Amino acid sequence: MTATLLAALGDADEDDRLFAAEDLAAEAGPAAIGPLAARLAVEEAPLVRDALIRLLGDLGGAAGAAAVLPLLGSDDVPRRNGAVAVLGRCGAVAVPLMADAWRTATPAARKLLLDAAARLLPADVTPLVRLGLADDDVNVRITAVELAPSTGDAACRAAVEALAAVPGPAMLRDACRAALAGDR
Amino acid sequence: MPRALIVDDSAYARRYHARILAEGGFEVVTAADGQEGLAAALRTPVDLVLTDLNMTGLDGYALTARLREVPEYAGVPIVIISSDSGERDRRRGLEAGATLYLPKPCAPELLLAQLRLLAPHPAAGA
Amino acid sequence: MLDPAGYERLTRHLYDHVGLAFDDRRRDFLLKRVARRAEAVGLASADRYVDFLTRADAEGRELQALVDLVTTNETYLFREYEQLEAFAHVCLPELCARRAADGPRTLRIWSAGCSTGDEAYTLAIILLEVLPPAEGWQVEVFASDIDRQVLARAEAGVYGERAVRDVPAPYLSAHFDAVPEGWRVRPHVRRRVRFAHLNLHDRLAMRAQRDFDAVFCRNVLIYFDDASRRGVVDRLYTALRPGGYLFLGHSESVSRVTSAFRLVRAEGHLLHQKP
Repeated sequence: MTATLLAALGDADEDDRLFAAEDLAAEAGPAAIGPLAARLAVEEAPLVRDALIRLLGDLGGAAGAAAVLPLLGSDDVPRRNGAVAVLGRCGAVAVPLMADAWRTATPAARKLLLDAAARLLPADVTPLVRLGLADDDVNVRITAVELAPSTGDAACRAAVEALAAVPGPAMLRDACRAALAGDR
Repeated sequence: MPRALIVDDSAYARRYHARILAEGGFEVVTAADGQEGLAAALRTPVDLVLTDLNMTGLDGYALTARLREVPEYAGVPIVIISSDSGERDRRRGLEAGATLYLPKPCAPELLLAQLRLLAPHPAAGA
Repeated sequence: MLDPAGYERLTRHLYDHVGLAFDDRRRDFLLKRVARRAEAVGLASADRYVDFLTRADAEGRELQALVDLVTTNETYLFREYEQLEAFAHVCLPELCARRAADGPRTLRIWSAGCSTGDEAYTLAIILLEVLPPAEGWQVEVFASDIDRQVLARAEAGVYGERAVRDVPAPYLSAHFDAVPEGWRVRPHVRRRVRFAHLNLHDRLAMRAQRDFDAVFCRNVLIYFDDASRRGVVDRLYTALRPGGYLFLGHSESVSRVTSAFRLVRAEGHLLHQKP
């Protein structure tokens, strides 16, 4: 990985930043993940931000997931949703890391973890959906209920049935009804 | 019948809100992300936009700001509905040009009552 | 026949080297063309052909031949003309005003993935009609494709009756000569178009393309998967001048394009404009 490319990631010209990011990803492979994620944390130009999200998703894997997980807590909306897009392309290896992150995540970040899970293979994300169904936050529960049927997991179904049997907000109750009815 | 555009990346949330609005007398169109939502709004004018906040590509704030740049949408009610319902989120939404910022989930009758106040000719009780 | 592992190797090779993605819906389409190439190079099975392609084709000649075969589709002049009308009525006056204010009266248009040149010549004709050379405008249409066979046909500029069926009659008589094979584009139009071999997936070659006022890349990105499509669009973005327009096909999803573009409406069409 050349120092020139790393320096160019911070260039004043957005085209040069984009080119440096693409070259880093192509030449350094997974070793580019750290610098690209660090740039995503501060990048303001939509062109470069979208490209960083694309390139981090291409590189993916456990390292890609680990690098963007902290961004779920970002105050910046495009950055945290960029992290969702990257996680959604990291595959099953990302799920244990996401489950780990779950323990210390805010309710908003837990919801985003489920948004990312929705982009992964349903069978792979069963552990996250189970966590979501037992969550304190109603929006996390609603999202988990939406994902539950596709996992095909008996424990998830039982948890949805239990949620449906107790009083709760209209949207949660309706989500449970839809999930149990296979209303997709 | 007033036309409402619902923008949400959750298929379930789209269906849920679409049903509430349809029962409340709106003609409903939906889009699965901010860019699709912007395209839909530009293709066919709508009387009200109800958008989620967290979406990849163009989020709810950005969608709102871009719609406000379009002359036809200068005065169209844009409502952000989100689980991020802190005071700061709300202020940011209003700064982007949103008419209203609602917490998610929102009770159906409450949602409808607020939207009816905003939409041009909502058929109350329809 | 090709077993699933062989098919996977084939599609991975196409994706890694030229960015072409094939999902299951296009499996038969791809396998038919593989069978044709296998026969052409004298290999007995698709299996053997994939071995040859992935292991023995060091210079990529066979890969190029296969790519030529799978990226060919029917095109014709003045295709999706309504969108070109929006370009002529809305974008051109705006682009010309911008160029006239800040420099020489030149416009650069790119037909990316130009195939047999139908779109490139259509654009050149529209520009001739809308911007008479007498007003001092210099226009260059740059047309590129990955397929050398179609580029050779594009340069010849000869089209059959089917390909010119949508050309307005006055344009046909003004800009084409009748030849035994059909219609040949006249030299005054051909002079305006420059054809070149270019792989949209080749990020380094793409960077050399700069300062375009409009890029037409219609019904080309449908051959790419989501990630490489986004990559191509990012490079087209950098190739545009500020204020320049990107034209995609009617049915192409706007969600797969960097949010850096502004979406604007022109005569009912949605166009992407670089801010």
